[in-house]
Formats: sequence, structure tokens, C-alpha cells
Amino acid sequence: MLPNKLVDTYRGVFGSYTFRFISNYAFWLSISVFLLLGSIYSLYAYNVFGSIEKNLKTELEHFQRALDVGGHAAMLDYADRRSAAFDSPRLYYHLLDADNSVLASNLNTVPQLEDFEFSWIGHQFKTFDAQQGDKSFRLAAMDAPQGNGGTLILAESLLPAEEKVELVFDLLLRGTIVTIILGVIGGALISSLLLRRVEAFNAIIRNILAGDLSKRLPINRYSGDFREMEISINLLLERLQELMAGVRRVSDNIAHDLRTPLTRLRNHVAMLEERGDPANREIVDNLSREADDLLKTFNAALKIAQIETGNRQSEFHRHDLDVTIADVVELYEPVASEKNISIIQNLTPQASLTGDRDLLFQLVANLIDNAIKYTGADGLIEIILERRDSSLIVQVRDNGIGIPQADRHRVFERFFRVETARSEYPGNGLGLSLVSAVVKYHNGTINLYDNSPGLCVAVELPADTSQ
Amino acid sequence: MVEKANKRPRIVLLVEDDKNVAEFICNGLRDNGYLVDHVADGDMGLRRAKQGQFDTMIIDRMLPRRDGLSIIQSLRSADIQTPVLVLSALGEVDDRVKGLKVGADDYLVKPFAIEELLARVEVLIRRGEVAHSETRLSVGDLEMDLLTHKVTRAGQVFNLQPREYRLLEYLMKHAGQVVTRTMLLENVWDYHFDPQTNVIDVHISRLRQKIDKGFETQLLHTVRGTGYVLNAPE
Repeated sequence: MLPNKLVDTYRGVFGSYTFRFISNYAFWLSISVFLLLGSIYSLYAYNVFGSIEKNLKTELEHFQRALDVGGHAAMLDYADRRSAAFDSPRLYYHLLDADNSVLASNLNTVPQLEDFEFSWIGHQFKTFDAQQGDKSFRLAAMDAPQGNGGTLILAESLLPAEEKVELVFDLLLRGTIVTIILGVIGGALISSLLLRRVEAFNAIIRNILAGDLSKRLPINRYSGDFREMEISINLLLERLQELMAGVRRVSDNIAHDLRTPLTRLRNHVAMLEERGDPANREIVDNLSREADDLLKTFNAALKIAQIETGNRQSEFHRHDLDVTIADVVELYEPVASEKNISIIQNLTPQASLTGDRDLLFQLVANLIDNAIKYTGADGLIEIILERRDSSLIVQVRDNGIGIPQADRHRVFERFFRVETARSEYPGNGLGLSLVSAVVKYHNGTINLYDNSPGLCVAVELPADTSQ
Repeated sequence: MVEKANKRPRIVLLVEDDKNVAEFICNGLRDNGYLVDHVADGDMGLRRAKQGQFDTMIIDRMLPRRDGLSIIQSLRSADIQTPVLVLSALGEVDDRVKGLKVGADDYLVKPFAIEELLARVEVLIRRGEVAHSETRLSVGDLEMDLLTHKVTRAGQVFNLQPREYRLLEYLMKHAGQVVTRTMLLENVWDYHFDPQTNVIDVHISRLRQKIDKGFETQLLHTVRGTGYVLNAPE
């Protein structure tokens, strides 16, 4: 089973990974779309304004030639002929003398020439605003200095060109926005589909790790990365299962191989007790006790291993935890009263849960056994069972020596013993490890608190809420 | 551990495929005066069980060719009621209930101490011999009325707590046999667990305080390294 902490970090990384993926994707998508559409736009604008420039330049040449040949009468004549031409845009002319007096013009305003804002593209014309009726519009203009110090200005309306460019700009802007939105949605969709797939993977793998190692991932029908990953993971599980089976075989063998000589040892000690020299009685007694302790430690370690590796596979049954606790208390009451310790019970009735009855008995028994062991004469042990939402909470409180804050997180480790208790109290350092294994096995949590003085152990187990 | 008073040697059928375990059990049983018939696979086991006259059978759960539970089922449906002790290895489905449901009489998880096995076999053999239909139990001058729950010794009435009563009842029903602490936990308290300290000892000494204190002969004895025995004086 994966520790919860590991699972959580894993999820966190994934969450931020999705976010990072989509925001990166959106950023680069916007930049490339912006660059592409921006270049289309500038190319289009360049062409549109370029054709105006070209037109003005040609016309300026024609007008100049007419002026040079026949003065402004010829120029006006050319202008009239030119405006009669069907498809050419309307041209405006403005001929100024050296003293800026108007010699000829079809404009109703005096043009104030300004540089065209797009001149950075390379267009040479200038612009000015003109009034037609009550509408003002912009014109593109070119001026040519005359030999007599005057100026010829030719102009053409910018309105159609500006409208076209604006339309294209509008289209492109909308296009960009739509592309980015669709792109981001698509990206998010694809990545979330992929991630959902990966999450589904994780869920299956977690399930497998939590219990039945013989289960396998379903293999994708279509070849590809996922199929390969599934096959790899299944191979990994195969290997894991083999290893676990190996460990189990080894521990089974060790169990038998050690049990037998240990048992023989104990039998021989028993024989010594019967036939041996009474002078050695104490030594023999100690031997016998040591052998018993060894067997007990051995059994406890095996049992923890069995529970933690999910090899117990006991059937869970629904039963009342308050009855189990009362049974434990009844069993331990004589031991407690020998030390003149009182046990107070405060149990919520019909606190049912689904679980392994024997293991839960062991859990409570170990807690009470510890409480009795580490509480002095005339002590008080309180055992409380409450139902909170969908959980059952068991608290075992004593007013004994407690566990120093610094050691509290370590007492669930196998064979760990609090330094001060090590010399003074018997024990193998497996009692709380077994408790913790049983709690995890039932998807519960366990916490230690200061009961000042003493210890409060709080176990939370999922209640059976079905009626 | 078996009382020498039994004239006929007891015959035990052992169906176990693991060589080491089988040897361990065979030696243990033979050392204690049993005759052991050992087979290593399920089919042979069933055939032997149907042919022979056994006092009790020890059958492993996981066997080649035929599962231990299926052997028991076949035996029971053939109306062979020989008591059966099921062995189950660590790591197999540890479901005592399933074993007992198909008709097994007791269930022991490997690894176990040989005394534990011997004590259980002894109890099974006795159970095969005596039908507990009587309403009174007696060991020496200690008497228990199963109907009125009255317990007396030499006329003196004891006031026992319910659990003390059940403890004494179990001991009296198995008088003369060694019962282990695990057996008491399983049968009197109905839980299968490994106590960190010998909680049972305190219960026994309380019971001893009531039934033995002030009497010349002690009935309730401790068997070192194994458990207890309630014995009438010879």
C-alpha cells in the first residue's frame, strides 16, 4: 500500500502539470498565431497602400508632363480626361504658386500634409483630411515642387483602402481570438483526456497494490505508447508478485524452521524443569521464559508481516465494536485489578463496523495491555467509544508514564521502544506496530496525544453505516 | 502427555504435503504414543480416510490433487464422523469459519507449537469417544450442574462469575487433558488472538482461589510451557 503522503504529492504534481501544460501551450499558440496573422495583415496593408502609392506616382508623372508641356490649362484638360475614365479612382489636384496662392484645385480645403503613419513600411505618400458635405475623410497625397517655386499636390481618397485594411484587421483579430480559444480548449481537452487515462491507470494500480497483486491492467487493443506502458506495468506487477511470493515462501519456511527448534528447545527446558537439579531452578525458569518471549515476538512479527503484506485475506464481518471492547476489558480486568488500576468504559452501543473481529480484539487488547503496563498502581484507564459522522473513534486514556513527544511518531516502528521504558518494562516493541498494522488494514487512522499525565491513543475506524 | 491408562494406541491420519511439517508432526505424535498414518496428497488422503479406522485426522488445507476442505466435505457426506483438525499455512485464507462450516472440528494455523497440536488432538479424540449429553460434570469432589449452573466442592457452594463458570466448565469437560491458553481464549472467550501478557493466568489464579483454596488436594494445575489441566487426584 502506498503511504498517503506519497499519493498526495503525486497528485499535486499532476495537477500543476496539467495547469503548466495548458498555460504553456496557450502562450506559444497565441504567439505563433499572432505572428502569422500579423504578417498576413501587414503584407495585405502593404499591398493596398502600395497600389495607392504607385497610382499616385504614375498620375503625378502624367500631371507633371501635362504641366510641363502646356501649363496648367493642359493639366486641367488631362485631369478632365482622366476623371472621365471609368474605372480610375477620383483624383484631387491642388496646384500652388510660389506664394502659396491656389492656381487650380478641385479641393474645397487647403491640404495640411502630414506623414502617413504607415510610412515605416516604406510608403512615401502623405495624408491630409478633407471635408465632403458633412463627412470628413482622409486622402493620400503626393506633392511635387515646381520649377517656379510652386507645388503640385495630387490626392486620392484613402477611405476604400482603409476600409479594406480595417476589415482584414478585424477579420484577423477575430480569427486570432477564436483560434486561441479553440486551441486552448482543444489543448485542455486533449491533455485532460490523456491525464484522465493516466489517472485511471493510477487508480487501477493503487487498487492492485492495496490488495490483490494477481490483478492486471487491461491491455489496450490498439498498439501504441499506452499499450506498451500497460504491458510494462503488468510485467512489473508480475515481478512484484513473484518477489512477494518469494518473501512469503521464505518467511513460511523460516517460520517452520525456527518454530521447530524453538519448540524443541522449550521442551528440553521443560524436561530440565522436571528432572534438573532444584538448585538450577531459577536459571531454568528464566530459560523457559526467554524461549516463550522469543516465540511470542516471533509470532507477533509474522502476524504484522502477514497483515501488512495483505496476505491475511480474512473475511470481514459486520459486528459491534462496543461488544468487542467490553470483551477485552472483561478479559483484562483481573490483570488491572491486580495492580489496583480501575478501568472505566464509556461505550456507544451498537457501534457496528465491518472488519476482522479477531484482529480488532487484538488491537484493543494491545492498547489496554500497554495502558496497564505503563500505568502505576492505583492508576486509571478510561476507554471511550464514540460515533462521529461515519467513523468510530476509540480512545484509550491512561494516567501512566506516557510517551515523550519526540518519540511519538516512532513508537509504531517495529521493535522500537522508548528509551526510558526499555530497561524498566518488559516488551518486544511490536505491540503498537501490530496495532498500527491492524488500523491500516481497516482503513483507519491512529494518533497519540498527551493525556497529561499519561497517554491518549485515539483510533478512528470507518463505521458500518448501513442498517 | 497422553495418559498411559489408555490401552489401545490411538491412530491418527495425517494428510500433509510439506515434508518438514509432516515430519515435525509425526515425530511429535509418535513421541507421545500415537500411531501415525501419513499421506502426502489429497486423493490418497480421502481414500485412506474412507478405508481406515482412525481416532482423529489432521488435514492440511492446501494439498496437491484435492483440497483439504473438499476431503472433509466428502467424508461428512459419506457419514464418516471422525474428528478432523484442519491445518492452514500462513498466507492462506485464514478463515476458520469456512473450515468449521464444512465439518472440521478444530482449526490450527501454522506455525504452531507441537504441544498446541497435541492438546487439540487429545481433545478431539475424547470428543469422539464421549458424547456430552450429561447434565452434571464432576472432577473429584468438584461438581457442576449444567442446568442450574450450581458449582460445589465437597458440599461447599461457589459463587462464580459468568466467565469463571464458562472457564471451569471447559476445564471440567476436558478434565485430565492439557488445555492451552490459546484453546481457552478460543473456546471460553471466543477470540483468536495472541496476548502480549499471560492474561489467562490471572483468570486461572482467580478461579483457583475459589475452587482450590482451603482444600487439601489441588485440582487445577499449571503445565509448564503449555497450559493447564484439571485433574482429579488418583
